Amino acid sequence: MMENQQTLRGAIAYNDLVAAVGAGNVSRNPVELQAYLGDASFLGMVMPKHKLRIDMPDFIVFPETTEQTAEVLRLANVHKLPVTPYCGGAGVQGAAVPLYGGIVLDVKKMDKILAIDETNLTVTCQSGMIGQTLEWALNAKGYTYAHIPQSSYCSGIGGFLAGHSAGVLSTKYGKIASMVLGMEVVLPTGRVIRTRAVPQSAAGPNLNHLFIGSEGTLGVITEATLTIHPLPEVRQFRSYVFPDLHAAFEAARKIMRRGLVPGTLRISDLVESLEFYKQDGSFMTLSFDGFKELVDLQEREAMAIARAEGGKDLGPEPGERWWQHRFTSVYPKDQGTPLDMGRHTFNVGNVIETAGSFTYLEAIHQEMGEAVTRIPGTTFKAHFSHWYKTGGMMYPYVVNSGAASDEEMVDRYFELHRAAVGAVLRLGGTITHHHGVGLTLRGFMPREFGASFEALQTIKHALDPNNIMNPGKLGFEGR
Amino acid sequence: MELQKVERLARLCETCPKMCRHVCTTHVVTHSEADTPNQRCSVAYQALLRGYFLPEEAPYMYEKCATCGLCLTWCETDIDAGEVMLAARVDLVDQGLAPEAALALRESMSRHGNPHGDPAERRFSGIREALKELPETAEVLYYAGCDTLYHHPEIALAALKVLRAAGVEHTMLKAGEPCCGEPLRLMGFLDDFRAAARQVMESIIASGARTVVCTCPSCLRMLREVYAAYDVPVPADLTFLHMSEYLNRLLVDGRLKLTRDIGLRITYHDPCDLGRRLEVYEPPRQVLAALPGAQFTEMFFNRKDARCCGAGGGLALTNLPLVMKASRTVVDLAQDVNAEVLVTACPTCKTSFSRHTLKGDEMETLDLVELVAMAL
Repeated sequence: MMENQQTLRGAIAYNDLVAAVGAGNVSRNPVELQAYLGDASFLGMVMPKHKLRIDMPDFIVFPETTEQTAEVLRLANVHKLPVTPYCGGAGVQGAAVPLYGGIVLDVKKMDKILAIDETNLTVTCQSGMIGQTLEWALNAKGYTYAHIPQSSYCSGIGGFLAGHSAGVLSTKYGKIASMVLGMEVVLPTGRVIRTRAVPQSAAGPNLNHLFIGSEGTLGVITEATLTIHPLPEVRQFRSYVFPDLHAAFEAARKIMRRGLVPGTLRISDLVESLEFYKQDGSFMTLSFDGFKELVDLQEREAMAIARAEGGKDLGPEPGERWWQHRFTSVYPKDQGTPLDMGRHTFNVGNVIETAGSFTYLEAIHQEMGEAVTRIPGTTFKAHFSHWYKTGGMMYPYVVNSGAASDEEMVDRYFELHRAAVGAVLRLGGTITHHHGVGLTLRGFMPREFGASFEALQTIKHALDPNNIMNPGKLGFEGR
Repeated sequence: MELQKVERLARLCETCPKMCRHVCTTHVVTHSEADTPNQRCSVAYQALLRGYFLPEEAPYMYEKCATCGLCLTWCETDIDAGEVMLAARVDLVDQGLAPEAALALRESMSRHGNPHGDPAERRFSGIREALKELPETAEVLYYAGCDTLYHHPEIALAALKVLRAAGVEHTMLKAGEPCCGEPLRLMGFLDDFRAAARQVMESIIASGARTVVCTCPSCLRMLREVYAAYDVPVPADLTFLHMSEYLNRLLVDGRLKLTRDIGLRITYHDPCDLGRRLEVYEPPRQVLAALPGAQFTEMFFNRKDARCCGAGGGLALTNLPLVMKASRTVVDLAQDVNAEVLVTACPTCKTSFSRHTLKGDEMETLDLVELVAMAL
């Protein structure tokens, strides 16, 4: 809150921070503060331009080491200043919005690769590395870490871990959690802990999973050891169109059940298939990567399953085109940008993605579609793009237009969430598969967790007694 | 406001989740959210909406963008944030908010005819003897530019030596070579820029030359495409070439013979104005391939993805510490491929890299034409 800019208390806090990280690593320049007001979320980026004021942060701090990060958190406890960890700020749920001002702790100056272990296939890096920068460094040596979200160019390792993200190849390589061996975390009190970077361990609960997805509420992730893979010899695509969504789901279920491990498996519902791919029916794109003989075999088996479910083979071209343009939808457009589609027209779908069993996916597609289109001016379509042997993820595309005022748009935004997430919780899915909770879904966390939310809150209180770490996120209390 | 002309670019860029941050020359150095094309466009767009800039926004608009075009390379919406920055600077000049460095540059241009504050009479001091040998008029005009003549006369000397060796009838604007005016454009002084541009074109036309060859990519870009975009008349029958393009022609035609083994491991840095802006990627490589005994290795980032030396957009005047860090990243890339010579084709890049690669170090920075002169 800006009061720290004008008070003696604020001046002392500033000088303490300067002592900790150096004058060049603390900013209270208004132009710089403005740049950290929000992230890529509707609430954090679009709403301030629609009259919803967000308090300025007081200080932007750029620690260069784990030790400096620890000292900043210790000082935040001394001054009772909230701390919002910030990496790429590309989250769409508002987790990096500094809701209560205070310190924005930007980790991006911690951007070094500490080790690439080619024998044991790991990379250890600091959390401030931008995803594509890490990928380039690995590619130069013939490797990939295979985490390729659409935000690969603009978000970083710390954000991937804190937001529990998934890339477009997650069906084969897993979400970020399954890529992590060990981590270094600065706890809210300034204590530094490390988890062992080993393939697996039975020594109690896996603490990595306490911090992955914690959205900066339980500490600051400063380092991670991740799995890497040799660059695949080939990546081959195949697309199909099925008579209906159920047939496509059946093909997906059987492909996963057979253990074919596609890198990509994307299914569009009938509306999206027609609009995006000009296909009557349900469109599916598959990719396999690895060495040629195995990829050919996987593709052949998948084709047999697709044919048996009524899939018409569209060849490799649609999938190759999708791969070439897999980030295109993120870029701004004259009509309908992902973030600000125009006056009183907005897309809420990217923040109500959900996951569940195969049975659930068919049901939620029907029920969420019905629930949201009851709200005036709403259209609904969806795709399904992260798969497991036990189910998958639905990514809806929900556009609302026609609100008469800013206030009505905000009301509709939350009304759509209540309708969509209500259906998710009724049918037994999760409120988010990979975009996280942030500001948008925090109110649903007690229902998502049920009685176990108390256990989560107890952990939060124990680790962060002064509630300095990203207050108000993940459903935890604010300031 | 000049920003009106680029309103669409600024408006769209500010709604992007920063898909070019991973390549932005200033952002990869400072890591600040403020130093992203998105945020710069956001500030510009907000200024446009309110109709004026705030005083604290002026230095921000001048110190943070190298106008290198890397953001454009990665933007699927084709937004060049550098264009927005330049428009913003014009508006800042109009509002009387131009920072000290910009005003000092304008003063230097006005008094000395160069952006460096060096006396005009010293323009040719590094090449005086070679200049005496040149004819008054010739078919080919070598336009050296301020950075070459004041900071790197060795590039000009090498250029003249190579042209002579190839038997090219050439000369320079001996009576006085005016600055191309690009620094004025970068600092937002458009009227001054147009006046400078007209003076340059008048001098070239008066020289009677048909082909103008430049060692500075920025000078070349002004002559080849920017002047016309600012309504400065450019005769259609004049040809403007970069030295690498011209040397490549001479090699192909068999007029230039390179015989001496240089025996060096080399790599090549694509200057922003020559590469991304003018899309001259292959001629320099073809010339380098003709050097006897040169072992060439590409850097990881090359051609359209080449990193910027940091000195574009006037940053050498407004934010030298940033230039130092940005140029270090390119030098590191050259060291990654074990190069003995980091070759570039731009005097400004040479200045930036030479701060890290002094002569006698394990790696040296040389202009392409210097290597060619060594191989004669």
